[in-house]
Amino acid sequence: MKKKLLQRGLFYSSARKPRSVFKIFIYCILLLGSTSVFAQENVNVRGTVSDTTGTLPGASIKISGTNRGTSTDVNGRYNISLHKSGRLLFTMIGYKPRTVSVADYEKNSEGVYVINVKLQNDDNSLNEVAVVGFGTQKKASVVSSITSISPKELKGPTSNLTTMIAGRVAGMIAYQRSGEPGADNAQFFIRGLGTFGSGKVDPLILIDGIESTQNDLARLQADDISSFNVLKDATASAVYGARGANGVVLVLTKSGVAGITKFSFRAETSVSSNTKNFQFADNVTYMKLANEAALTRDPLAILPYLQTKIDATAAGENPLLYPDNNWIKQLIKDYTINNRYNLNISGGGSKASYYVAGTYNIDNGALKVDGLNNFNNNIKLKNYSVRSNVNINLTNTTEAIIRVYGQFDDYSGPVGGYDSNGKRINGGQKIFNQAIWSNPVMFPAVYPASLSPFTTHPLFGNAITPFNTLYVNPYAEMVKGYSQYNASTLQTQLELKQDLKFITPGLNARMMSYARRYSYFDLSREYSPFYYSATEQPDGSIGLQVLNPGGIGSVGATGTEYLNYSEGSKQLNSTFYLEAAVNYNRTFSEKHAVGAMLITTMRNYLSGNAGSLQLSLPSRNQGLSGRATYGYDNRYLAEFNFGYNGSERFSKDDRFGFFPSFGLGYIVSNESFFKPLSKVINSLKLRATYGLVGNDQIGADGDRFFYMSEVNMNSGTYGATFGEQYGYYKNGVLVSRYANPLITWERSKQVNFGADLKILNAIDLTIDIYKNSRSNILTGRTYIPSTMGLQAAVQANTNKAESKGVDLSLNYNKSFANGLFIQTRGNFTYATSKILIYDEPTYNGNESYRYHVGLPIDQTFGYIAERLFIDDNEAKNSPLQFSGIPGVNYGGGDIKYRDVNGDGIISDADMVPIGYPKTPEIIYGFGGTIGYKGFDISAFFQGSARSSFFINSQNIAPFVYNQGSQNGLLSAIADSHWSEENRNTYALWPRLSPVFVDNNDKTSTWWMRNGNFLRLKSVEIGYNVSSRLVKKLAMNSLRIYVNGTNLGVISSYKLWDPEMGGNGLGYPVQSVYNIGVSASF
Amino acid sequence: MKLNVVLKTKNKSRLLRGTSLFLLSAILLVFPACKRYLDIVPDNVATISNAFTMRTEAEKYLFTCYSFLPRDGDPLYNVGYLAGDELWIPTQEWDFLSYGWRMARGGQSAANPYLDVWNGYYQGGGPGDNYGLFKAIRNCNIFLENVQDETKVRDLRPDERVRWIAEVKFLKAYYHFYLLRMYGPIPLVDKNIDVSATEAEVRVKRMPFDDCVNFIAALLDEAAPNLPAIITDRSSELGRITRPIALAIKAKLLLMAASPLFNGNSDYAGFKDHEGISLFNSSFDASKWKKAATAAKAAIDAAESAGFSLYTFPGTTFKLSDTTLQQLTLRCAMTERWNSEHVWANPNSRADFLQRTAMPKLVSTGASGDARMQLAAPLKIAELFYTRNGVPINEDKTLDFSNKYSIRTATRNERFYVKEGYQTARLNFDREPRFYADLSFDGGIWYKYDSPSNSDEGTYSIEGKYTQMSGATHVGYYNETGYYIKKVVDWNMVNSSNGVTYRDYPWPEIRLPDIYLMYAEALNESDGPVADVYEYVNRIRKRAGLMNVQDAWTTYSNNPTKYTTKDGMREIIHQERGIELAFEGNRYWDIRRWKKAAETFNQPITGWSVFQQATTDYYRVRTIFSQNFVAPRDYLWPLRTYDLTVNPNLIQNPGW
Repeated sequence: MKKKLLQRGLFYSSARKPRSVFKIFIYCILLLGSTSVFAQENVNVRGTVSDTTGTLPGASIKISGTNRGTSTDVNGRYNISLHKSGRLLFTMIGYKPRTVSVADYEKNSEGVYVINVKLQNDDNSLNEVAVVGFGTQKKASVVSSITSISPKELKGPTSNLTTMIAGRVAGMIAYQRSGEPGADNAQFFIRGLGTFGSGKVDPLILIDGIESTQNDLARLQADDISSFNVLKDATASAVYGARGANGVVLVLTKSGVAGITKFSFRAETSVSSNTKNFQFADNVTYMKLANEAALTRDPLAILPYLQTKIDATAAGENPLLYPDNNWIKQLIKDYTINNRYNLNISGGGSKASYYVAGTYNIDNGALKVDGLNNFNNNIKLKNYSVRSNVNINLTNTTEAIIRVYGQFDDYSGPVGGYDSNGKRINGGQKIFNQAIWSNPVMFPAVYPASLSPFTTHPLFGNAITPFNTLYVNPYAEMVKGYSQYNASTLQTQLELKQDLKFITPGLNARMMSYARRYSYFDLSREYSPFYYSATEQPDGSIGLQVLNPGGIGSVGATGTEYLNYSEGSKQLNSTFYLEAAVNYNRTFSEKHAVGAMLITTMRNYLSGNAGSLQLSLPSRNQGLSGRATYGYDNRYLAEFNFGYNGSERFSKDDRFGFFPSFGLGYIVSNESFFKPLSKVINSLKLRATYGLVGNDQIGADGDRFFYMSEVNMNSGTYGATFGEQYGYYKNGVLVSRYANPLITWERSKQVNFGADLKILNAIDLTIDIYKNSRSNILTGRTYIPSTMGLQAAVQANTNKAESKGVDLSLNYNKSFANGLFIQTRGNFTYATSKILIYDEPTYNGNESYRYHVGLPIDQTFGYIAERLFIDDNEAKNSPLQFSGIPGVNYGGGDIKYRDVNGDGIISDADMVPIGYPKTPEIIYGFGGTIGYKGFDISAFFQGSARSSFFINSQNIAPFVYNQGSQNGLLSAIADSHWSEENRNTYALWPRLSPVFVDNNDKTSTWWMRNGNFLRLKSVEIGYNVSSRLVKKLAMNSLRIYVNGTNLGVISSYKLWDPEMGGNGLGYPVQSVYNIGVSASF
Repeated sequence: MKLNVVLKTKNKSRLLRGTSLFLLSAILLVFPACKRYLDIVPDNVATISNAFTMRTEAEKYLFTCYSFLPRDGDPLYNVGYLAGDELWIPTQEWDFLSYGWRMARGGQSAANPYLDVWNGYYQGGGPGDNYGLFKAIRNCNIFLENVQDETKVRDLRPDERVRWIAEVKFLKAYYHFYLLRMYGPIPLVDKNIDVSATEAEVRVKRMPFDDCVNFIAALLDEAAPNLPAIITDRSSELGRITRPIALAIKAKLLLMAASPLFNGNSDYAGFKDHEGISLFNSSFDASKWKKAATAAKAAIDAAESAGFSLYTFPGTTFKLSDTTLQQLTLRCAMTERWNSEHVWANPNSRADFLQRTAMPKLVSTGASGDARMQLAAPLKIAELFYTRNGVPINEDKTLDFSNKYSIRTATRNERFYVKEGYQTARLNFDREPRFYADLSFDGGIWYKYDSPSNSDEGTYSIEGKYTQMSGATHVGYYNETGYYIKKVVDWNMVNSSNGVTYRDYPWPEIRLPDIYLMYAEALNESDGPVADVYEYVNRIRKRAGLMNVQDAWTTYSNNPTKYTTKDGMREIIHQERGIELAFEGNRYWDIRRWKKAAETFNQPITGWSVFQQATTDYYRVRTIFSQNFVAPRDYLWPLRTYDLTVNPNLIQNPGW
C-alpha cells in the first residue's frame, strides 16, 4: 500500500497541481520516517553458493557499492532483489570474492534470475588493497604495521566515533573521561605515549587526506567510512616525515559507485543514562558529621547545625524550613533520549558517480529542565553534516574527485564556567560539580510561587554563609540561563587523477588540494537569580525574605529578572593544502612487482585569533616524500620510504629533515616447501621494518619559533608608575623566550616485527612487536640556576625515551552448515615506555629514587602515605610535613607520609614514583557475534589495565567552603573516616575538617587507585528481515536492532566510573540503550 | 539520476595532455620553486635589541628595572612585616595567606623556603611571584650593558643617560642588598652570564660577606653623584631614585654590616664554602660602626639639603584638640603622600590592601571585607611604647604599670585617647602619643576625616569584645590580640553607602627618622653617647610630643643615668627605633641585626581574650602562640635545597 502511494507520488508528481506537492512532501516525510522504500526496475535473483565440496551457508552477498546484502541460508541458498544493471559481490572468509553482473544472466520462466556461484579457496588475499600513506598498496605486499578495521566495528549507538575506538583497534590506547555531549571525546594514542613535554603526543589524523582534529574524527559517521586505518610503524608513517612520529590515523570516506541510485537509511533512538552516579550520605548524617568536622578541628568552634534542626530534618518536618536536598536527584534526570539519523545516497553512471550523505544527531544532556523558564537549560548538542563525494571521469584516463563536507555543531546548555586553571568547562560538568559542591540542608532549591503570589521571578532558596556571602544554589545555577556555541567546519577538496599509461604502463599522477575553514563562537544568556530565605511566622505560616534585592543589606550579586548577555570566545582558522604525486606500479615477468611514488606537499594554516604576532604568522609545512617497493614472486618484499620535510618553526639551517625507512617482508606460505603445512596454516607473512619519523609539533603552543627570542615590549607586569598623582606609567619589557637556533624536531627511530597468520581458514592472527626510541625531546635545561635570572626557561632537545609493546589481533570466523555462524575477535595492545635521558639535576646519593630515567613517561611522582596519624602527639613527634605546623595545620587523623630521604621533613624531595602510569599500558577488547538465520547477537567487552589514577581529594572534601560553595558528603566518606571515637588509621577519609587540609591534598598513595576495569562495552541483538518480506517492501535489506553500550563494568573502584579517572565528579560516561532500524533500497 | 558530463569527446585528448602536463609540472615545480615558502617571519619582529634603539623604548626598560622593587607596602610581600613578632593575624588566614607569618610560626624550610626572593617563590617574588631578585639583577645588567654603550639609544640626552645609568646601578645595588640582608653571603652578579653558557660557567659561588658589602657600597658610590638631589618634575618622576635615597641605602647597608649579626659573629666562624674560603669575617671590627655613622650622616645631610624634614600636621578646617593634632602629625607622617620626611616613597607599592587589613570595622554598614582588622599587635608590642613621660613602662617612677592588665575607666580628660567612661586595661592609659597614634584597642578613639561629629569630640571609638562591632565575630576577619594598627591607615578612610574608600599612599621605604636613628645608633656604638646621638634621638622625641632623652630619664626614670652610658643609650635607641618605626617592617630586621632574635622571638605571642564578651573576661591575657626561633639557623634564610642540587657550588646556610 505504502509502496503504491509512494510510487504514485513520485511518478506522477510532475504532473500534479501545486496543492498535491504538499501531499508528495508528506509522502516523502512518511517515506523517511517509516524507513520505507521504493525501487526502480528491480529484479529478483536467487541461487546457491558453493565451493568444491558443497554448498556454503553464511556466505555474504552484497550489491556492489552499497551496504545492501544478504547471506546464504543453511542450504547455501540466497534470495535478493536489485537493479537489473547491478552487480553482486559474493564473499566469504577464506574464499576469493567474486562479483557477477546480473546483466550477464537470463531471466527464467518465473521472471527470476538464477545465479549459482562457485567460490574458490583463497590461499592468500592477493588482490585485497590496503590503504597506506598517500595511496594504496596490494595488501599482500604491505610490510609495514597497519591496522585496518572494518567501519562496521565502529558503529555503535553513539554520535561520537572516538568513543568506539578503545579495545577495537590493535595498537591504540584509548580512554574516555567524560560523557558530556560535546565534551565526550575519548583520548587516544597510537602505541601509547611516545614522548613527553608540552608538544603534540597524539596521532596525526587524516580524513580523505585532510589533516583533521580529534573533534572531526569524533563527528565522522561510521556509515560514511570506507576504510579506517592506523599506521603504526616507521615504514607506514615515514612519508609523513616530521609529522608522523605519533602515528597516523587514515580514514577514507565512501565514493559513489556507478549503477542505480541506492538509498541507505539509519534511524536510531537511544536512551542514555549515567553509568554511575555518586552517592550522597543522608542529610541527618551530613549535619551530624559537619558538627563533628567543626569540633574535631577546634573544640571551641561554633556548631554549624543545631540539634533542633537535625531533629526536625530527621522527623521530616516542613522541607521549606528544614531543607533536605539530594542535589543529584534534583538536578539530574534518570535518563535522556537521543536520536541519530543518517541517510546516504549513491549512484552514478559511466561519466560520474556520487556519494551524498547527510547526518543529523541530537544528543541531549541528563539535566532537568524547569517550567520556570521558557528556555531549555539542558544540554542539547545538534550535530549535522553533509558530505558529497563526486567522482567524474573526465576522460578515459582522467578522474576528478570533488569532495565537499560541512560539519556543524549547534550546542545549547547550561552556563559553563572556568576551572581553577582558567580552562573553560562546559555547563554539564559544572552542574555535576556543583551537585557535590553545594550544601544540601541550608535551603530548598526553589520555594513554591504561591508563597509570594505577586512575584514574577522564581523564588530560589538560599542562605547567608558565615562570611556574609550567598551559598551556591546549584539548581538556580542550572536553570538561570543557557549558553550556546556553534562550530562549523567547511571543506572543499579537489583531486585529479591521471593515468599516464600512454607514457608507460603503470604510471599515473595525482594532485589533491583542499581548503578548510573552521569557525567557532560561544555566548551565554543568563539572569541573576533572586534568592529567598524562609522563616516561620508566629502563626505557623512561612514568610520569605529576599536576600539580594540590591542596596544596603543585600548580599551577593543583585538579582535581575531579565537576561544578561555575555559574549564568549571566538576561534577562526583556515587551512590550505596542496599535494601532487606520481605513482608507478607494474609487475614484470609476473614475478617482479615494482612500485614507486613521489609526492610533494604544501600546507598553510592561519589562525584568525592567535593572540600574538608570532603566533599569528602562518604555520607551514612543505615536504617531498617517496616510496619504492619491490616484490619478488609474492614471496620476498622490500620497501623504502622517505619523507623530506620542512617546518617554518625551526631555523633555516635546521628547517628540513630527512626521514627514511625501509621494510622487508617474507610470505613464507608462498614458498613451495610450505605447501604441506598450508592446510593448517593457510598463510604466513613475516614483516620487519626500521625507520625514522619526526614530530615538529613540540613545545608549548605559545612557542612557535624557537630560533627567535620572544620579547613582549609592552608588558603590564613589568611596568612602573611615577609622579605625584601616579600619573606617569610605562609598561616594561619581558623576554618570554630566549632564542635557540639549534632546536629542531623530535626524532623517533622505530623498529617493528610483525607476523600475519591465517589458520584453518578460520583464525586470523596479526601480531606486531615494536620498539620506538624517541630522541630530541624538548625540555627545559635544569642545570641553569636561578642566579642566572632568566625569565623564561631555556629549552633544548635533550631528552630521550623509548617505548615498546605488542599489538595483537585475533579473529575467528566460522559458518556452520545449519546456518549458524560465529565470528569472534579480540585484540590486545600493550604499550609501555621508559625515559632514557631526562634533564634533571644530580640528586644526593640517598635520593636516587627521584630520577625519572628508567620510568614510564606518564609516571606519577607522589608521596608514600603510611597511614593516618593516631593522634596529635604522633604528628608532633614525626617528621615535619611540608610547611604545616603539627597540631595546627595537621594532626591526628591526617595522612602521615614517609620521610623517604630521612631529612626530618616531608618535602618535594620525598616524592617517589608511585603506581602505574596515568595512561593505561594495556587496552584490550574481545567479543563476537553469533548468528542464526536472520538473527544475530553480538557482545563486546573492553578492558584497560596497568594504569593508576588519583582522586582529587579537594573535590570531594566534605563541608569545606570552596569558592563560595560548601561541599556535600559522599556516603563512602560518611561510612569510613577517622574520628576521635573511631581512630581508624586506614579509613577512606582522614579526619573531617571544615576547611581544606593542605597536608591531605597531596598526590600520594593514599589517593591512588587502580584504573583497571573490564567493561561490557556493547551488546547488539539484531534481526535481518527475511528477504521475502524485504522484497515485498521493495527494499534490499532491512535490519531492526537493539543495542547498548557501557552496560556494565567490573572494577575494584566503586565511587564512580573508573574510566573517568581522578576527576570523577564530572559528567559521567553514559550507558546507552538503543533501538535502530537500517534499511537500504 | 545520471549526471551530465559536459566535456565533449574532441576535447578529451587536449584535456588529457593538459592535465598530465599540469600534474607533472606540479611535481617538478612545487617543491624547488618554493624554497622560500617557509620563510614566513617578517622583519621587525620585536627582539631585545629593539628595546635600545630609541629613548621611549629604553625608558620602558628602565621602568622594567624599577618594577622589581619589592612591594613593601603590602603586608604579604614586605618580608619584615609578619615574619617576626611585631604583628599577628588570625589562624584562618582568611584571604590572607602570608608565608611570612607561617615563618613566624616555625614553618620555614629549606625544601620550600618562604619569601624566597632568590627564586621568586612563596611571596618572595611579589604579586604573582613575578619579581625574583636575580631576574631583577639580570634586567639591570642588560640595561647597563646597552645604555652604557653610546652607540645605542642615540636619541637619549647625555645627562639623561648618565642619570639613568646611575638609577639602574642603584637598583642593582639595592637588589643585591636585599638578598644580602636575607641570605648573608650571596653570589654577586656584576655581569650577566650568557644564556648558552655551559654548566661549569653558570655555577656561581657565594662571595664572602665583606666582599658583598664592598661591592654594593661601591655600586652605590658610583650611582650617588649622578643621581639628582631632588626630583624637579614632580608630576611624572616623583618616586624615582635620588641621591639622598642612595646614600640612605648605603647607610643602611653599612649599619647592617657593622651590627652584631654580621660583625664578628662567632656563630659563623666556621662557615666556609667548598673551597675553604670563610664567608664571614669572624673578628669584630669597630671601624665598621664608624663607617656606618659617617654614611648615615652623609645621608642626613643630603636629605636635609634636599629639603626633607620631620613632618608636622599643617592643620585643618575642623576645630580639633591639640591632642588630636599631635595624633595627626604622627599618623600623617606615615600616611600623608610624599610628605616632607618620606626620603624614599615607592609609588609602585602603595598601601591599600594593608589599610584594609588593618582597619577595624567601625560602622555597621558595608561588607566585612571592607575593614578586615586582621593585623594585630601582640601585647609585648603594645607594652614597648613609652609612658606619657617618654620612658619605658617598667621604668616610670611616677606612673605605676605593675597592674597593667587591671581594668580602669576612662576619664573626661582622656577622651581624645579613650572613650569617656569606657572600661579598658590600665595598659591603655597614660601612654605616649605614638601609642595612640599607632595602635587602637577596645575603647580606643579612632578619629577620621568623616567623623560623624565633624570634630574629635564624640568621634569613632572601637568596641572590640566578642559580638561587638570590631569584635572577633567574623570567621576570619578579626583581630587576634585586641590591638588594631592605626598607624598605617590614612585618616581620610571613608565609609559611605557606596562602600569604603582608602586613600592609598606610596610606601615610605625610608623615612627621615630612620636615618636619624641609624646615625644615632652607629655614632653611639663608635663614639659613645656624644651630643649628636642625643640630638637626633631628641628630634624624633620632640616631634612625638615627648621630652628629650636626658630630661625624661632624669626626671621620670627609676634608672635616671641610663642615657649616659653607651650600653644604656644603646637600649634607648633600640627601643626608640622599635617605637618610631613600628609596623613598617623594620623591627624584624633590627632584632636580627642586633642578634637579639633568639631572646625576643622566643617569647610567647599574647593578646587579650578576644573571644570573650564580658569586660573582665576580655582583659585576661591569652597566649596565642609560642614562637620558636632556632639560633643561629633562623637568622639567615635557607637556600632552596633544589638550588643547591642544581648548583653544587652553593653552600647552605648554617643549621639548614
